[in-house]
Amino acid sequence: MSKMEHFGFQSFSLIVAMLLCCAAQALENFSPVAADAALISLDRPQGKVLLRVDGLITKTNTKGQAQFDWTMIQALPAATINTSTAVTDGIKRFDGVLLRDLFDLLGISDQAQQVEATALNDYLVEIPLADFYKYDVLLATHMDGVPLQPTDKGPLWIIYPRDKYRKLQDIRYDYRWVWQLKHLHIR
Amino acid sequence: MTRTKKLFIRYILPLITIILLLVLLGVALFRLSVIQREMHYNSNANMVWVVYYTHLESLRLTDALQKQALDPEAEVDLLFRYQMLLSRLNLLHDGPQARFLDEVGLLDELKTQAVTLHQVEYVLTAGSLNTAQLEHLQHILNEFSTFMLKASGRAMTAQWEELGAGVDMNRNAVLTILFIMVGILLCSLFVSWQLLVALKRSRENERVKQQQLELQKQLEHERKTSELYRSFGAMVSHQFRTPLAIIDASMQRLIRAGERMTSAQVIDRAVKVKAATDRLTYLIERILKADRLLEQVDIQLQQYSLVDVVKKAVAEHSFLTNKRQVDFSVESNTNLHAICDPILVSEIVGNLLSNADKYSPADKTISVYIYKHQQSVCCQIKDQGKGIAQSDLKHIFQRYFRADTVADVTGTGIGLYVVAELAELQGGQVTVSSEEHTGSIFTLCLPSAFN
Repeated sequence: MSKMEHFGFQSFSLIVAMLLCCAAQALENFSPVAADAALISLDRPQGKVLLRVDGLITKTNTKGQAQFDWTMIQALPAATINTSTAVTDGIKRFDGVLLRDLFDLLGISDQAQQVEATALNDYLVEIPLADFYKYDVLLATHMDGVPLQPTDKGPLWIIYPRDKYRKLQDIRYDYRWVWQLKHLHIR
Repeated sequence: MTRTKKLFIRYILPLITIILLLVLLGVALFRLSVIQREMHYNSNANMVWVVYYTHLESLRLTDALQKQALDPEAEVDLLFRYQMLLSRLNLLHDGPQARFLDEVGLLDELKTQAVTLHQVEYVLTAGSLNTAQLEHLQHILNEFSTFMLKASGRAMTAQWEELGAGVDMNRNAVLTILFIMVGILLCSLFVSWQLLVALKRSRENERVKQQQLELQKQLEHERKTSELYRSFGAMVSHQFRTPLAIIDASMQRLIRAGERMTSAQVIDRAVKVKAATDRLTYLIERILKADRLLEQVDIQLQQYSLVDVVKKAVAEHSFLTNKRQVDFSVESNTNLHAICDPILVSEIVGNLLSNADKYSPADKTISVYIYKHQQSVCCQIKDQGKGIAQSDLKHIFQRYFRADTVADVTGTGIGLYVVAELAELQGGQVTVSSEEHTGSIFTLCLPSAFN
């Protein structure tokens, strides 16, 4: 309830923020997609499965699902983001792969609009698919060079380039930073 | 209203108002920018959420332990649930969350609880649990759950306080801006009113000035009219008196003498009366003719040789000058073409010749000289007559004006007035210079080319 009130109170500020962001958004550029990601073959995972992807994808390696272990994720083109977060102090270095590259590898259907991300504790959040093409959104495996642990925010954490875009420094983007990610459903 | 008071109301007060207006606008903009900046700042609203999930994980671990206690064979991943709880504990220890707990005085207790929870890791990793271990774990988790309830209460309170403070701040800021806006409105109204008053005042001044000008013009007109009547009166009394006196004298003589007069004497008197009547008729004709001439004049301006035009005019008026020597000369080797109407020039030259003839002895030569002067071509008519007094020169072209020196000569004072008017109609002018007992020089100058 307090959250709802908070949003109501903030609605005016949000409108102003949106208007201000229009200009910033117009300037935002899109990074080129790594074309070679689609060429990587999708083998069955050998190690412990960290991430399951299903829904509107064309490539799978188990029944109706694409499963990834640590090695398979590490095989994707590496990417890095240096950014602050809403729940930690200072600028952190995040290493991992772009979710965009992962989706390109899986061949996402044109009808896909939303991504349902589920965490280990079954926390579920819907993220617009466009986010991953508009921004370099990272599927982080390391923070400051150390692998993310399940007892912390690991093994996988969705990281937005928060410091690069003013628009992302917003509570409406903060909730999309799913940590302890285990499952993505594309629809 | 004193001068200082006027100065204050008209200039200093509006100036102060405008400065106040600018200051108010500046303050309003500043307050708005503060609100705008505050809106960008997302308050750390997820504390309630973090505490809730931590509490939830501790309860889920308790739940799993209970299941294990009831049925030791049950499929329960105790270690996973424990790891989830640890991950939440770790999150609580991260910067923003730890700072918040420190602010509400719960950080030390969290650290103690965390140490206790970390200490039981070996129990969970060891595998099966005995009853004592289970009870110990449940006790620890109960303690933690109580702590979490306290933490969620504090988080909720802090969050609501922050929200309330935010609402207060924004409400106050908006209220301030509203007051400032009212101030701006009042200042604007005052300045607008001052502007309108100033505009009205300037229009009023303009109107008064216009009125004064109009009055001055009317006065001038009145003065001219009155002068005209005076001149007319003077002329009439001079010119009409003599013929009337002649008629009167003749008639009195006829009455007194009666039948004693011979018919020759009667005829002599009648001729005199006839001559006086003719003179009166002539005067009236002249007065009327001048008005008709000026009213009906139809100008046809073209370039003519002034020499030819003047020569023709002199010839036309030869009846005036046939008994007199007229000396005609022109400036040599010069283009003496002028823009004029030959009929009007003839009228002017005829008038000037007639005057020269009238006011100079018959044996004195009249000289006509045509020459170029700057952008004009001029015709000078010079006589050797009685001349005009200096005091009369400036009135010589006024209607009905007659110089005192020529009171004995018949005239209406219209001729030179008509001459000046006709010259002006052609874009030229007539000037005069004269010396008493030596003669007068009248000069008609006309433009040599169209403008």
